[in-house]
Amino acid sequence: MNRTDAVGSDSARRITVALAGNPNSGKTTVFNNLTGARQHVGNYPGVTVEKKEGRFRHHRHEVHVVDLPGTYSLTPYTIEELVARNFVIEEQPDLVVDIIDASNLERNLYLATQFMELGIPLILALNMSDLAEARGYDIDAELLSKLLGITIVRTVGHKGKGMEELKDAIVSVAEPERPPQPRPVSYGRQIEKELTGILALLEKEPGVTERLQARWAAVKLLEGDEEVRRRLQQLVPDASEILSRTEAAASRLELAFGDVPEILIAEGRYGFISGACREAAKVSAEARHSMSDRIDSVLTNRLFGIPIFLGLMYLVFNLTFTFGEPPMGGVENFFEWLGGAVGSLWPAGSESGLKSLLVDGIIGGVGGVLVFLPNILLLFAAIAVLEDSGYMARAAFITDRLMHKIGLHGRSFIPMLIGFGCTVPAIMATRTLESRRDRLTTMLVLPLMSCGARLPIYMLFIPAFFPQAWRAPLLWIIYLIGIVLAILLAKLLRSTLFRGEAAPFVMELPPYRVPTLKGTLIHMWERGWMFLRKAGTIIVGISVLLWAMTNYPQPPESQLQRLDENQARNVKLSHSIAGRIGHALEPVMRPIGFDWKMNMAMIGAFAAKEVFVAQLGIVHALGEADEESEPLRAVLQREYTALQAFCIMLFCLISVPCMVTIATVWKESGSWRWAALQLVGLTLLAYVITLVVFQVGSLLGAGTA
Amino acid sequence: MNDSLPLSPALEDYLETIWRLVAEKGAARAGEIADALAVHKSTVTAALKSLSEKNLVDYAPYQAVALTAQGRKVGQEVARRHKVLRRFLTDILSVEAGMADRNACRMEHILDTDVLLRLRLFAEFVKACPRAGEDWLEKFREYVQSDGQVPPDPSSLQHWLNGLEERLGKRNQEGRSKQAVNTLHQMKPGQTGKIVRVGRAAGPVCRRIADMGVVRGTPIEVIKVAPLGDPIEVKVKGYNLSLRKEEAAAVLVEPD
Repeated sequence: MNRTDAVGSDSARRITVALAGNPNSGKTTVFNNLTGARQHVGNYPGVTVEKKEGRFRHHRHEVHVVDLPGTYSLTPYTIEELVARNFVIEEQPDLVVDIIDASNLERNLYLATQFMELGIPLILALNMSDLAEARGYDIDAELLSKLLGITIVRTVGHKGKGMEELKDAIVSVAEPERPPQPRPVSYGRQIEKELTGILALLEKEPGVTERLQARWAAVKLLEGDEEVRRRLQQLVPDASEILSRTEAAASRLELAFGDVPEILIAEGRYGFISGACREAAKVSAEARHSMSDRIDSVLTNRLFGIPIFLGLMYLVFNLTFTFGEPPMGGVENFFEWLGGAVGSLWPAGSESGLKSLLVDGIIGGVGGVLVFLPNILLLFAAIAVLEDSGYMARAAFITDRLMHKIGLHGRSFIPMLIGFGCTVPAIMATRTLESRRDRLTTMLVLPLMSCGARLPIYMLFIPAFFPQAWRAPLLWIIYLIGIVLAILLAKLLRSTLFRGEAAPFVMELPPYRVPTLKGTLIHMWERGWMFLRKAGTIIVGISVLLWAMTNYPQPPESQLQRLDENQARNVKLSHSIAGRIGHALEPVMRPIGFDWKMNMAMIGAFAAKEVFVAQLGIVHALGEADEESEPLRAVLQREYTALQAFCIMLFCLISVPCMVTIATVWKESGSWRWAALQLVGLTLLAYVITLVVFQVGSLLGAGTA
Repeated sequence: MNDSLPLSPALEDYLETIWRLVAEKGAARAGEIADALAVHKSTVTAALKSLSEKNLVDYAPYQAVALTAQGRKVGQEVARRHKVLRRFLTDILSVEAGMADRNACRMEHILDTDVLLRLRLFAEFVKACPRAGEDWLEKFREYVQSDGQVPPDPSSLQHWLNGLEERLGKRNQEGRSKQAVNTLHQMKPGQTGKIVRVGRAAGPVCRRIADMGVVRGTPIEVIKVAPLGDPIEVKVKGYNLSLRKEEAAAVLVEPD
């Protein structure tokens, strides 16, 4: 794609382009087409909104593309909109390319009118024009361009059409000589009169005119935009005259029209757009009941909507875990082989500390995390398909009533469901939630959805302690306890830490589309890579720490003589820091039915919950053990009561599953504080509940025989 | 955000007055506030201190009074209530201006927002409804001046109310088959209409609804209700939008 043949008369320049557009406008596809693989994913400073950047060369010009978050408007109410707006104001890109879904022209142009007001050079990419034509829209791009005073390029993102034209337009609009200024929206005589009044005051302030487009600032002030108000107070020594003028204007308008200026201005913009569209766009066929509507009438049907939803979710799970199995085995085998290969560098029977660090600590720890990767990638692929096809929005539509009752949003449902498989991708799936409050609440309660790694623990204990008839109901009850606790905790969080209005459910239901393979793969790769890179660094650190805790300090050789291998491992473990902590915790843990062996196993299991069973094998000097191990069950039956067994399962269910969860929450929430809160909070909750159950149970003599 | 303690009517009046003074003159001074409320200056000082403790105003002696963000919100809200009530009393009930002002001043503190809204909607309805409108109001004014004059005696007031109920009951039986406006959440799937107005107040939800293209004059069609009975799906400006019923309640639609 590097085009060196073009001989432009102009010298090479660096151009920064911000890519904007509504969600579902095909923005991501255009971004991928423009930049190819030269992308970089990060975060906008201070917030956890994803920032994608890429670059391409065109006629010797180096073009830097920043993908703004997909938004419908530029209000100060959502982080995404604020981020998009601040980027344009603060970073002053050379121009904005606004991707317009041509089959949904009016609503997409609404965002464009706001960029026009910001006074930034603008190109409209009339995307998916093929779809628009198929749906009976006939858009006269030239006329529209003339009416709005903006360059318009036709593109078809998923076919890669119009990209060269778009690149040409970017280079020519970014010319230092100003392009034709867009025509600002006119809001009607009375509003314009008020705007002129405010504008006159603003233009007297050099602090404002240097930093902001004065007309835009006037409109925003009239809308009651708190953010712009704050800015104004920073930029102007005494803003009181401007502010009181604005307030008086707002009151006058409200009195005259019976609506707040915010709504009046939104109406003004849509009025302007309707006018332009009436001239430049024709709808030849009344495409009311399109294919998409017909699909939708089945998928969100009053009767079949829920069964279809549950069926689809089951399918997603089944496919992920069935197809994930073989590669998981492969990853496991690979790390086993790698461990063996690295270990064989030392003479057999060597007790080298370095060997143990490499084989057990690093390779074992990293392997333990990478083993989840196939599942995680498959889940992300499934999520990408659901999202790109348009079904995700319907899933939220179907489940919102339920989730709204516990103060959450319909979009929280899918992450919760994924939580039953693995908490880590579930936490990453909370990205679809717009409201930060909802997102954090969901993240914090997610570990209560009993994940797959905890199943081996239940599978070990339940058959060992409970008669056949109780087994299935007991397992069901444990899952249910998790769900009920999650609901209660979510309610609690929404009424304390995350108090405030529930996020509105004003959400577009995009038309159904066939997801593209390329889009799905890119999506899957991005998320998977992010998981590896970000969680990975923390995980290697904690793995090494846990390894050190379970291996050091080592007992003197004299203690290990005359012991078989299993006994030796047992002695080593109880001599280690983890063992000592296990012993030290006894007074605290005894009231909930744990002895030091359980404590020790629990510390080791922080790496991953399924390690708990293997750790139990070691502390009971049984060597290798899994959930089917009968000798282990026999020992457990001897040493513990059914009540203790139930308490252990309960504690495992409620306390945080593993360090990967904590690392992911840390990264996804953008702060270690939330991760720490989750770790401490859930551990305390687990402790208190188990304490009550064990004490009351002991008192009643239940399951203690 | 409105989780602060309820303010006394007197303090609300202060905030309203300060807000109005700032809006009209750019600043409010203790003296002006005292004049506007017809109280002594020392009373104003005490009130300002109390408001300052509640973090509603920034106040230092001998300086212009400034509202904090929260104070501005309350002041503006009370002023808005006052305006709505005053207009209702003058325009709809033909109450004389001075009396309307005094009554609005008392009512603004005690009416629930919902009732206020009903009054406002009623006022709009009366003016917009083809069966009511200005003529209808004119008739009402005549009625007030003639035999409809409300008698001052409480017992006869009761008598009058009974009579009114009877009259209204008869009217209701005659049928209100056609409703002129409806809120969006009351509409059935398949029903179409034109949006009359959005929103009762400023704020994220109404703004969001308007941003999505649900604005005055736009045709709208209810497509379906979600299987569990809450969000609804509508078609507007050629695309599908979902919103909860509680959000849809803020949208007034004139059914086709």
